[in-house]
Amino acid sequence: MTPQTDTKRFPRGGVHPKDDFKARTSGKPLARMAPPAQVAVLMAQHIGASATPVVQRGDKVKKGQLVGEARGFISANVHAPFSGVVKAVEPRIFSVTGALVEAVIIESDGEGAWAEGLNQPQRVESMDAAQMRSLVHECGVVGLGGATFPSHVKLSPPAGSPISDVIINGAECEPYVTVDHRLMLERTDQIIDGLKLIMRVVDCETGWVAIERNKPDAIEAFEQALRGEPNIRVAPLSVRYPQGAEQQLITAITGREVPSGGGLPADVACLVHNVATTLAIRDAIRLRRPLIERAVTITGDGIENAGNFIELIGTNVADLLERQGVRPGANQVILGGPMMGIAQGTVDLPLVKGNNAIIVRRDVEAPLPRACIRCGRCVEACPLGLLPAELSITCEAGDWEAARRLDILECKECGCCAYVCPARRRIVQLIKQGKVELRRQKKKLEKEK
Amino acid sequence: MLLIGSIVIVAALSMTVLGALFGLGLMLAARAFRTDQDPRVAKVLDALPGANCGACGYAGCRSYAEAVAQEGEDVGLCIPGGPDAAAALADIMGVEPGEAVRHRAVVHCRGGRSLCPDRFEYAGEQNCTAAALMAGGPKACPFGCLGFGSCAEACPFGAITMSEDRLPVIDAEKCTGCGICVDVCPRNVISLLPAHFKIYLGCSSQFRGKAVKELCPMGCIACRLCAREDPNDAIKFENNLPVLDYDKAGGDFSAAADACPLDCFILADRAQPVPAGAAGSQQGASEETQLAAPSLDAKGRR
Amino acid sequence: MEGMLLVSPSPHLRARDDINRIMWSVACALAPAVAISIYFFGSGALWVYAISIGAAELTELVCLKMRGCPLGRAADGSALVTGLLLAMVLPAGCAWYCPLVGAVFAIALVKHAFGGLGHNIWNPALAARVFLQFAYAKQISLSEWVVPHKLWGPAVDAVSRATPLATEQVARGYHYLDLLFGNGVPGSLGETCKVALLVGGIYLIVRRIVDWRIPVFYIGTVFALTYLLPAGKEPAAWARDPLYHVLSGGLIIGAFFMATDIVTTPITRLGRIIFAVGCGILVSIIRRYGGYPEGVAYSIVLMNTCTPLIDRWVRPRLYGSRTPKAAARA
Repeated sequence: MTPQTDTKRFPRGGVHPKDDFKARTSGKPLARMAPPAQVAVLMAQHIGASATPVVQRGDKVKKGQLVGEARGFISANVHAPFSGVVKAVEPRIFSVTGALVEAVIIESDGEGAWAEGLNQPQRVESMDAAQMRSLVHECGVVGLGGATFPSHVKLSPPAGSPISDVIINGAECEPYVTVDHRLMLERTDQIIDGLKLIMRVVDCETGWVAIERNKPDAIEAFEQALRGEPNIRVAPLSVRYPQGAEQQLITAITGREVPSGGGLPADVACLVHNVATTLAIRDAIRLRRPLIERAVTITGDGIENAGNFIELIGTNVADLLERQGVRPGANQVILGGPMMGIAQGTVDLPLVKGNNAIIVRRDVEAPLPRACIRCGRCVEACPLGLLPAELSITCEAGDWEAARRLDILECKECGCCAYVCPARRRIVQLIKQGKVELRRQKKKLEKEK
Repeated sequence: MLLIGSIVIVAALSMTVLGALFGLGLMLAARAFRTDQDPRVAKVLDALPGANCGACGYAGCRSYAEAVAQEGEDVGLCIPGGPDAAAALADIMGVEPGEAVRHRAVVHCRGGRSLCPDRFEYAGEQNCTAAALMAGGPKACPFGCLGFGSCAEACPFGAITMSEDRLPVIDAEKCTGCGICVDVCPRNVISLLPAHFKIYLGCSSQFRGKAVKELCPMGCIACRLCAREDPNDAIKFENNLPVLDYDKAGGDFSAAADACPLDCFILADRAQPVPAGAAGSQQGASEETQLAAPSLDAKGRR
Repeated sequence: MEGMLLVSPSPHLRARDDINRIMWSVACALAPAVAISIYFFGSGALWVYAISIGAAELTELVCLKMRGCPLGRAADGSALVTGLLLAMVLPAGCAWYCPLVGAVFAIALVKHAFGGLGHNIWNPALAARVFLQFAYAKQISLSEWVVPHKLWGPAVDAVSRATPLATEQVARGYHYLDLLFGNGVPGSLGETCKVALLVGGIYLIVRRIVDWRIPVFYIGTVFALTYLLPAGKEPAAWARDPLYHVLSGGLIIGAFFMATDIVTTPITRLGRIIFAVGCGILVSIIRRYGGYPEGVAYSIVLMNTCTPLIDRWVRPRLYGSRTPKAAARA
């Protein structure tokens, strides 16, 4: 293993959240369980315009068949995860916003065949970048780390912004979550294959596989597999949240800073894809396999049998929890990691592409916030150099204009500030609210003009 | 004696000189930094209500007054001031007042906490916008009033109070129709209604039938009886909700309102969503009485 | 999953330190200095502590009640720390009503009148100390102090004596070791034994409850300036002895426990350095040229006043703001 001095880290802020849970599932291989009888495939489970349903009630659909078509460039296709009959097209709750979103409800007919032409080896060697991109687009690949940004968009950097470094994000800095860790151990070669394909698409020479030091076996596996690959390097990362955030990762590895004010990684010649996304891109290009399933960690002190699983997109979360066993006293369900994940008001909702973990916790009591004591811990913790204390105070007072001057729009809501806050203030929620209010004001101004 | 005299003289002299110097300085400063103010700005400002609500689209009454006096902005933009202010401004500026219709805010939801309870335990910031960001907000009905009172807090005229059952009650006397509450509400349950129309729908649910019934006994189930019974054919259904076309037949919807089996229509001049007494008694009451409450309420009103 | 789910905002994990833990840790860090002060000054010290803490907690309860806050907050340790700190900066022989009036002033006027913990501009204990200085100048004299029990060496006959900083009669001043341990050195209850204070202070720094920058830059500035500034009112023997200055008076307790008060100091690292250097400059000037032998309390209270200004000016560099593209976008 490379000496500790090679460890890369972002220069400022960050926290070390206590994590008693990664060890619980990191040794458990990804398991594929019996498919559910019914799924609900949401039309809007990515950033950008929602897809348009292209099937109707009563239609028969094959596994992998398109059921929702991307609308516009920043949008993504959605596909049937198994063959069956469309029972209804009706709203279901989208776990990220809690809002109702149109969904295609499909009942399984038990047949396992893929739709024609899908899941077949492709002639990759003769393809050009545009063809590979269109396969990624067709297969509905989005960022599986949680951001769900359509991958074909990321693979099309603006003209004049050449990519010099492609970074595969295996940091997995969120506590509890272990899916990327398992994927890195179990599908090492395919991840490298995916990285090489991405490097071909964006015409880039240097590749990185970035892994936090708390996964030494994954670092070891990649170092073994990458022997004799001079262009691709393993970047061991210090164990610090939010090491896996795009900006922090780029700065840790290349020393460059993504410009503030809405800059993109491409502005500093970087492209970052999560481990699971890289695999999905690889499967799309090599096999023309649509994104119909994903790896999920189901864990937390409220879960009887924790583990890592491959689940179909659209599976009802309640069914998954019932299968794994919920302990008495469980009163909180979080989709995503415990730092940025979203607490759910109900478990009767479908799994979406961005759900990397389901965390069930027991006997959770939310602490009551107090007035800011100006201790400055949030300022120390903020990786972006914001003043979360001031932001939370201005948002509480409803002074949105002051919040804007304090660069509220730069905040990525990583939660470091609220994690360290001794007054237990809900800084992230206040910042989210501030952003909504500023958007509303902007819209109102535009309307008046 | 001589000494005291000289002190007095020196003091008086120095004060006089100092005073003269400062006076001169002030005079010069007043000359140098003089600004010509349009006297009409002050007049216009006087004629405005001075609530600084921003409903006109300007930062406050002063900026609107300046816009009217100096840039010839429309005199009818002050919503709280209504026709009176428009007439006064038109008089000052020597223009014709436009046709200003007085509006009033109304709440399209009657499902208070006792009728439409929360579906999860919410532990976050106690305002509607923040609550709506968390799993869609705790209210069982995804279209109903969240009940944290952001509208009441935002109202610059103190026209909104929250009932015991956590529903906004709008004081028609105090409401100027500025529309700030409409902007603030994340659920869009408040709208502006021309003040002379007396009836509106008390529900925003886009569900229909059983889906509504399961969530709230006061909800519109989209049975469409109102549209069928309305003699003026002024009710259209959009998103499972009746849309009232007030321009048709002068906004008389009494037949439609009578036809509604759930009494979803509210008479504006008695705009009490749930009588305070009823809300109080329902908290400990059985389910049966809760479900019966709407019809009792309706009888009380008619 | 029988009951309703709990929906709370992210992050769903929280660090262990909350206000209670922080305040109680500060109280624990003060314990060694409190213990040794009770040894030095006997029951006189005990009374001052009891009255100060009792009055602080009682006032806290009354104020919480008046403001409609949960009364459980009186147990968060903040009033306890204020009461402790106030007692520690009072002389052992002061009249019984001094800690009483001081504690009421600190909690009711300095803290709650401004909106409670987090909203106060000045460190409550120090502001109260300054207030008492003016209100009871006779009772709290800065030049006559009760002589403490000695740790070693012959006992002193006198009943009262001047602090090391006003000590004209002892032209040579005190021995460094005596100053370090507070052996026979008069002064406020808690300020004399520097070793006990350092133990507590270092504990707080290791626990990351206080920022090391404040004591380091504060003491460093005093060290440098007392050496560099031209001679003033002090007797020549120790006038330009920086170590003597650092070990005398309330500098150590001030630098570790007062100037590091989380509420009244800047929130940024650079801001705290500015704050600490400002305190150091003020202390050096007051000690050398001012009318009082000691200036720690004034320096901190004055710099507390500047804190909002420092926080307004000093902002960390925004991530990604140095790149040319960011400038172009802005």
